[in-house]
Amino acid sequence: MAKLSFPVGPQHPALKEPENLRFTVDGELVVDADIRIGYVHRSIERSCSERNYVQDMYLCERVCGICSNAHTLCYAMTCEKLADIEVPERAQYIRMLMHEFERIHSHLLWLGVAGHEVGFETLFMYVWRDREIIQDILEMVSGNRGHYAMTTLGGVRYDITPEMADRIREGLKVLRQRAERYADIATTEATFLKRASGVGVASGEVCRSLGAAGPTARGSGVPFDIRTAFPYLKYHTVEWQVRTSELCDVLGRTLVRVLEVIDACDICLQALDIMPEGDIQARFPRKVPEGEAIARVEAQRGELIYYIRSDGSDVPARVKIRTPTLANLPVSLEMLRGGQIADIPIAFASIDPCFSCTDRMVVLDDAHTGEARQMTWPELVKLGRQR
Amino acid sequence: MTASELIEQVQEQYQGELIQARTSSEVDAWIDVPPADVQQMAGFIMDAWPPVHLSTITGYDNGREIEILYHFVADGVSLTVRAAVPKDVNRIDTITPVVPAAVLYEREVMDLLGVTMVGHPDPRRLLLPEDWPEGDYPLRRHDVEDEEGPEDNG
Repeated sequence: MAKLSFPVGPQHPALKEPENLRFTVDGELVVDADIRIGYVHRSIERSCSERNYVQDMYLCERVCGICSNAHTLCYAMTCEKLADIEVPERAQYIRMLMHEFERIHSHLLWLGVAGHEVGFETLFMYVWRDREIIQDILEMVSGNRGHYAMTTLGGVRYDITPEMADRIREGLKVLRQRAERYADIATTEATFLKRASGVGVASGEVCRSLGAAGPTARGSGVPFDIRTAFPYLKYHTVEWQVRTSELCDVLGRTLVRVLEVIDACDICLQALDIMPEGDIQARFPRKVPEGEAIARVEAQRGELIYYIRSDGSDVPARVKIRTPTLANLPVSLEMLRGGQIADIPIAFASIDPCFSCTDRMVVLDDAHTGEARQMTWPELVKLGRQR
Repeated sequence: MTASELIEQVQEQYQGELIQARTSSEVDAWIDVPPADVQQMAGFIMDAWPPVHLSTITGYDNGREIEILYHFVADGVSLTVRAAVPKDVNRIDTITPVVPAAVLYEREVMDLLGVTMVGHPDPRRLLLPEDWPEGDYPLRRHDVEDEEGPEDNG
């Protein structure tokens, strides 16, 4: 059969960001995949060098709606390195709590979406119900369910009171049990195993050479985690481990994320017990000394890196951001190659890029007549579930 | 390994020219190399401390030249290699033959700063639209250039 090529997107593919994927297929088999990004390029890096350090904080928070706290944390850490500011102990613990809360909410969001992509709607419903627990905690602590605005230059904005700590403990205990249940489902439920096992395969070697990060790399047995590679905040004071899986497929990446939710609950419960009393903010100067600095954090999707160059004024000369999805795109294309059309949604979603719902794609369906047929994303998802 | 140990190893073992090598903390190392040697340096790093992770590539317009910064993670050290490309040269060798992970990052720098990566396997635009005017690069500093800024494209 002749090879056909068809586009997917830009108004769709996985999660929020519009991207245009182009697939070359031979029958049901995907032989090549290519990607075109840039549909939501908003010149944030350029805009950052036209605003002062405090204003940039708000701008960086809006790079992403899901991992906004990771962005402000990484931005603040870079600025604090430049200005040589020591963040108070308590503020570091609160930052770590927020960082892990965000990881829990994001991984649960992803798990629900993954259930949805493979037609396991019950999983989606249950997971998203449980996710409300962490959303309520985030709202209680920061006042917001998204764009928390907790991090500020030199510390955090709000303290965690003993009453809040009790409610957080209660919520996390429930969530931890639920996450254990999901780990059980992911490894024993036959329908999920059939759609996740052996799908979207990328070996550890491929992940390393293409620079993958986060659960995408760890799901292929690469133990790369910024929390241990470049220890920051207070991760060295709590007990946890880097989760990896040797499965190298969608199932491996799912397991890593579910286990990380359990770990995140443990990290938070320990941190609540050992965090000291004290200030939550250090004074940050308006102008930052000349220099350059890099900071990395382990956002929920992987390594996030900020590079900031200062010319001594109150406006940074250059702010460079590299988000984890960009690092994982090359390896996601490898996962799609050699798979089936019906595996595209879950394989692409497994790197956790960002999923909007309604989109259209064109399938050049008939090689003989060359007739183009419109196919919507829901149709493609339906195809993915029928398998 | 600490950053200063890594710098020592580079100074001992690396054959090419080093313009500057410094550390800014226990884990941050910075190396400046001539633009012509960048592929050699990248190859040296990849072989010296495997597995090496390339985090990203930053381009920065300092007025006279475009600095290309390669941010590596090598043996627990955040290693940044800097190559300053004069604006009238405006080209540098790709490092993709030795670092496959650099493909998208180099495309980003080409797209936003207009530095040609010689020998890049796939030099298409990454972020800007296809109809973006040639020769207009969003991250270039127009305020310090002698020539006039880009045309106003309405």
